[in-house]
Amino acid sequence: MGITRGIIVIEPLQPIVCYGFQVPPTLPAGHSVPILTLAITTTMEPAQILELDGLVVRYGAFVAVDGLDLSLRQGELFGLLGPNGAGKSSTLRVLIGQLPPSEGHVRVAGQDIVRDWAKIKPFFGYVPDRENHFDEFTGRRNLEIFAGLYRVPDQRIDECLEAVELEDAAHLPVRAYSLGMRRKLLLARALLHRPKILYLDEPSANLDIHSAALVRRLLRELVKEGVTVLLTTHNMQEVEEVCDRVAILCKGRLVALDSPINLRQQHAERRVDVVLADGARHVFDLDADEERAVLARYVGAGSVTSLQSREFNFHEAFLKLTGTEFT
Amino acid sequence: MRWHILKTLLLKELHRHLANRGGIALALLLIVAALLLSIFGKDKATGAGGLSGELQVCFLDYEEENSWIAYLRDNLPSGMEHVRFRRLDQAPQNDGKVVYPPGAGAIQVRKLDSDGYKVWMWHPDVGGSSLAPYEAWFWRETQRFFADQASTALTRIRPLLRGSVLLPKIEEQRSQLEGGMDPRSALATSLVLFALFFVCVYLLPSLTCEERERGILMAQALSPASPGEILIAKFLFYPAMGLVLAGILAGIYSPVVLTRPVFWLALLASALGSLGVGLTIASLARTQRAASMGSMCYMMAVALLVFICQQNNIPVLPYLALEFHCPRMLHAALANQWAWYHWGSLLGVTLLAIFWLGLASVLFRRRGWQ
Repeated sequence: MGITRGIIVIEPLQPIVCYGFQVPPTLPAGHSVPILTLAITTTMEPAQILELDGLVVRYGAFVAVDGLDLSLRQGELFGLLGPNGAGKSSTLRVLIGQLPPSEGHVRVAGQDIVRDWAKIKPFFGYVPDRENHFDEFTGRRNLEIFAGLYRVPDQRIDECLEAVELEDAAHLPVRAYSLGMRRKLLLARALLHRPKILYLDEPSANLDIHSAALVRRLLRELVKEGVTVLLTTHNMQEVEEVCDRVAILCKGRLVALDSPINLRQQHAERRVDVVLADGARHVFDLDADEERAVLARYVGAGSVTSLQSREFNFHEAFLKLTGTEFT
Repeated sequence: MRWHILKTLLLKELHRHLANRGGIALALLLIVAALLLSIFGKDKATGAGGLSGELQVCFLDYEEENSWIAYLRDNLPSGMEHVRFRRLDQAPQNDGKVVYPPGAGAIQVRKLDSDGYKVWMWHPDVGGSSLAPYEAWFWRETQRFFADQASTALTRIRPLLRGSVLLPKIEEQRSQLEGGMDPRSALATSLVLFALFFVCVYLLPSLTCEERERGILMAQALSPASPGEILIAKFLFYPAMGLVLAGILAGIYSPVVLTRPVFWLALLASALGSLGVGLTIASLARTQRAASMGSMCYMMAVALLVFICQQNNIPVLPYLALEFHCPRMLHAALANQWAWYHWGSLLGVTLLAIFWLGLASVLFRRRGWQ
């Protein structure tokens, strides 16, 4: 049956683009006018909120970041991974204005990070890897100070404390907080002024399972509200669970940039570890016909005592990309 | 300059110091010291050139009572009530040596085996300056006594010599030089200066470096507060705190001091100078410990340098130190002895303050927030 003219009811979820469709001019007999309801998902490209264009960072003769090109979209949760010394911290230092780029450009919402730094500052929030609170003050007083600097109302302090589940401990001095509570307070502080971009350095470090899950949930909610989140982490599980895209750095260079699932699939190897009845161990490549046939014979003969598939997970993809082979 | 940011940063500093019990305790200690000084401190000046310790008692120990000793006893001037006459054999002794209590001096008059007397001076301090007034009185009256004796003897031999001037008549007059320090005003000056230096040269770098070490300074730098606003908040808070504490201490010493404009001028200039020194140390030090050590070393080193230069008449160098000008200026203001040359000290402190503040600003920007 060909497509006919009909009435299209469009239910937008997000900014929309309408799909048009062509219909033949004649309507076959017996067919009524169809009413087609389309649920249109967003097809507009979100704004590029953060652009790193050929970023180079040097410490004397040592090149920490070597020509990094990255673009982050609005409302994206982006992971920045790499072994120690890969250039993650240097990149973050440039983004928070601690270090000027040696070469290249960094633009935040179209504004240059060096020239327009004062305008960019209120745009982002930063959660460092080390806590930096006034220990002698209460959690609430710490937030009040920064709320005063950002000129946000006191009500926002309560919202942020509630979001990180610190409302009951807000009246205690920070020196009485555990490491996890101090990290949550850092996150609350970074969210006070409703930033458009959030930089997090090891957000789940020192957090218990519940708190780590809370932070991840919070990040996903922020992303839904349109906040762009860039986090650095060594926690592969966290990357797979929360990140939309991941950039892997190695020795200052970008070695991979894709979603965690794609990276896993790209670098998966379909192999099987087999232990035979006589104790011999073999590895069979499932993509090789001959080896599949041999494996089938062993299985058919009942000679296999142990059989384990070897699908690469993201952790192993990371190790492979950064030069540590998995054996 | 945004007022809400300055206000937030100033309040932050205030709350930090209110939470710092050590600082509050020291401030209270200074106030108690000032109160004790105002109640028990002596006004009696010890003369230009420095502080001398006064003797609490001066013993005049003699082996035999004679007309000389009687003459001395009868010619004690007012102000020498601390002189005690006693026989040597009545003085407490230990292994044949006379024992004197702390804070005492003594003039021993002993007979020589041959004709004559041995006068033995005992003073508790190194130079003997504490015994100087008593020594002067002793020799003056001794000279008079023996001159009278000689005149009387000569008149008996030759009546014609009656009225002859064997020794010229000497009239004595005593005056105190200007600029002398009385113990009370000197101690008050020390307290006021200490308050300023403690707040601006010790507390400021120590707490600023603590913020830097912990990363709090960086967190503030990432907020809408500009580097200038963060620095200005410190520029305003620490001198103000130093001025308040110094003003309290000076007011306890003498409330009328607070009505003297030169006092506030001198205090403000000293506060700005010490602020510059403190910020310079804060810019150079990376850790709180380094800042504390730097502050202590600075204060001790400069104080020693100024002292050595003064003792050895080394020119020029002392003029380059705040610690040379500030005490002179503040003491003159506290003791109401402000003279024309103190304006020179004020100018010197102002120029030094500009230098230190400028250096601190350059270093702070260059070293960054970490």
